[in-house]
Amino acid sequence: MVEDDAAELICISVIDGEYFIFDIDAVKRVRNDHHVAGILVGTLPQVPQQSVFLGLPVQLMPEEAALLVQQGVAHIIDEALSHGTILAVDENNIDEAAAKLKINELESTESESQGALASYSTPTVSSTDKYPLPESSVSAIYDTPRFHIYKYLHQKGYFISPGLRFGSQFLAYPGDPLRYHSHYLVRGLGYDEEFPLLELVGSGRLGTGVKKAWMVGARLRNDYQDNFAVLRPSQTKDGEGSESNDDFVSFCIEWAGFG
Amino acid sequence: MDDLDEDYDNVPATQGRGEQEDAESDDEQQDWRILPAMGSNRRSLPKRGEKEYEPTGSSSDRNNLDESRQAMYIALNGERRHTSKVHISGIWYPHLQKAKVLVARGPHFKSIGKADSNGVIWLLPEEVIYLMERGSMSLYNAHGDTNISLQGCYAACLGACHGHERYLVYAHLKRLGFIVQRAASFDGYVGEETVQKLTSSRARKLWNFLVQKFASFCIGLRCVFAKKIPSFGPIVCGGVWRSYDSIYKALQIIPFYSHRGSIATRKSTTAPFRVAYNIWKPRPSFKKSSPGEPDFRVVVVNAQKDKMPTLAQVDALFATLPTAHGSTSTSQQRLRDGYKNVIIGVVDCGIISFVKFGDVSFGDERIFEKKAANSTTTKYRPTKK
Repeated sequence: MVEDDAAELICISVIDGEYFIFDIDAVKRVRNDHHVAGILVGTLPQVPQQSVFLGLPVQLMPEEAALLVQQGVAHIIDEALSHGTILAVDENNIDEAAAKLKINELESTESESQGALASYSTPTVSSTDKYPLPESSVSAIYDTPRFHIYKYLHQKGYFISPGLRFGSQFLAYPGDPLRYHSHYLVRGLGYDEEFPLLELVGSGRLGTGVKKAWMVGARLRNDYQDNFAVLRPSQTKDGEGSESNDDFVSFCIEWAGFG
Repeated sequence: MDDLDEDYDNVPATQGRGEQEDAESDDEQQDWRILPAMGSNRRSLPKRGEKEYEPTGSSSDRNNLDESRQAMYIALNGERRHTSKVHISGIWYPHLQKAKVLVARGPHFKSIGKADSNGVIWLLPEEVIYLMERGSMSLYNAHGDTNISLQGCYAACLGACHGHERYLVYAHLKRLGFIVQRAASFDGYVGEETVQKLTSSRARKLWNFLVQKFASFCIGLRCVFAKKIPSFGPIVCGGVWRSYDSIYKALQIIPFYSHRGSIATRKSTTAPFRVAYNIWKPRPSFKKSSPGEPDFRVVVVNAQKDKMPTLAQVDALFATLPTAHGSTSTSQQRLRDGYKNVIIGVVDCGIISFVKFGDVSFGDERIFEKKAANSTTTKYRPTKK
C-alpha cells in the first residue's frame, strides 16, 4: 500500500514514550529513502534463541522520529489511543465464557484453512483507526544540541545510531551500518557549553583505539555567525550542503602518536 | 608517543585479542545474507559478516548492500506462526495488567507464568510480549473478538513493563536461554521475603562486626605491648623479624574498607537502582515454586536519563542483596565477584551493555601470605564485565 503511494506519511508508533516502527514497508522506506536505520529490538521468530539477528519492531531514537516528522515524511501515532477500543474492558462486566466461545470460533476458522496440523499466526500490525499526534509532541527536542548534531550529520548523508557502545551520544556511519563501519563517535554540545578537557583525552583516545574519530559539534549562535565565518564548513563538494548546515561547526579529534 | 606504545605492549596477548574482538562485535557486524541457511540448521550460531570502510560507489558495493538489505527485509517479513502442538493463547486484561492463559502447551511454562489458587495461569506483560514476539502465542482482547497484533500487544503491555529498557533486558536474557523472573523489588516495594533474609544477615553482620572489632583490639594491644609503632621514622624497626609475613603485617597501617567490618543498615533504595530481575542459568531441575538463590541479579538503567549511581545508592542496593557464601572460592574469585554483586544493564535506545558492580574488600585478601606460601604471582582482572 505504501509503495504505490509514496506521498503517504510513514507511521511511527509512540508507546510508553518510545518510538517504534512495526510495518516492514515503513522500515524499508525510512532506511532506503531517508537513511534512518533505527535499531531492531524484537525477537526474530525464525531464530528466536539468539540476539545477533533481531526482528521487528524497529526502535527509533527520539531524534530520528523528530527529524522524520520535521521533514514532513512521517507522523507520530499514539498506539494506546489507536488500540483503545479494541483493548477496552468493563471491569465489572467481564463475560469470559462468551469471549472464550468467540476465540474458539476465531481459532477454528484459522486452523481449518491450514489443513492437517492447525497453526496459529500473529499479525504484526493492527488495522485500527490511527490517532496521529501533532508535531508539537516531538518538537520539544528541535532545539537541543543532540538534535542539532544529529540533523547536521544526517543532512551530510550519514547513518546515525545510538552511541552507547563507545560511550558517546551517537555513532556516525558513512553508509548503511549493515555494510560499513562507523567513523565517528559523536558528541553534540551547546555553542558556549564547556566540557572537561579530560573528556577530550578520554574520548579522543578511545575513538582512536577503535579506529574511529571523536567528533564534537555545535550550532553557531546567531550573533556569532559573522565573527566565526572562517569556521563555517564550505559548500560540500556535491553541492548538497543546504543553508541550515552553514550555521554548524564541528571538529574531529584523533589521537596521533607523535614522537 | 612512548606511553601509548607502552600501554599496548603491556597488555597481555590474550587480553588484547579479547578487546579487539569486543570492539568488533560491538560494532554489530551482521550479515543477514547467511540467515536463510540458519533456518535449516537452527543449532548453529549465527556468524558475523564482513564490513567495508566506506561506500566506494562501485556496482559491487551497491550490489552487496542491496543483497544485505533484501536478506534482512525478507527475514523481517517472516511470519509469526506456531502449530497447535505448542499453542499458547491468552486474554489480556488491561485493568489487571496481566494475561489469563487459556491454552498452555509447549515448554515455556517451566519458567514462565504464575498459577493462582484456582490453577489459572497468569502471564506478566513482559512474558506476553516475549512470547508474542517469538510467534509462540496468540493474544485476544477481553471481548474475544480480536487476535491482537504484535503492535497491539506492545500498545497494551509495554506500559506495564516498567519501562521499555526493562523489557529489552528481559527479552535479551530470555533469548540467550536464561531463566528470568521479576525480583521482589521490581516495583520498588521490597517484599517480606527479602526483609527476613535481611534481618538474619544483619544479625550475622553485627556478629562479624563485633568479632572484627575484638580482633583489631587484640592486634592493637599486641602492637602496643610488643612492637610499638613509632610516631616518626621507619615503621619496621628494632626487634627480631623472623618472616616477611610479620613485616608485611606491620606495614599494614592504612585503614581499608572491609566487608566484614561494615554494618549494612537498611536504607531505602532509589529508582532505578533496584534489582529488577533475578536470573538463573538454564537448568532442567528449575522449579518456579522453589527457584532457589538466583545466579545473577540485574538492575536496569537508562543510559541517557540516569546518572552513575552514588555511593549511597550503591550501598542501599547492596544492602538488599544476600551475601554470597563461597567458602570454597579462591581469592581471585572473591576479588572478581565480591561478597555481593549485581549486574547493571545500561540501555540506550535499544542497545544494551552490562556492567557488574561488586562489593569487594581488597584489604581482606592478604596477598603477601599467599605469595609466601606458593611464591607465585597472581594477576587480578578488573571486575568490569
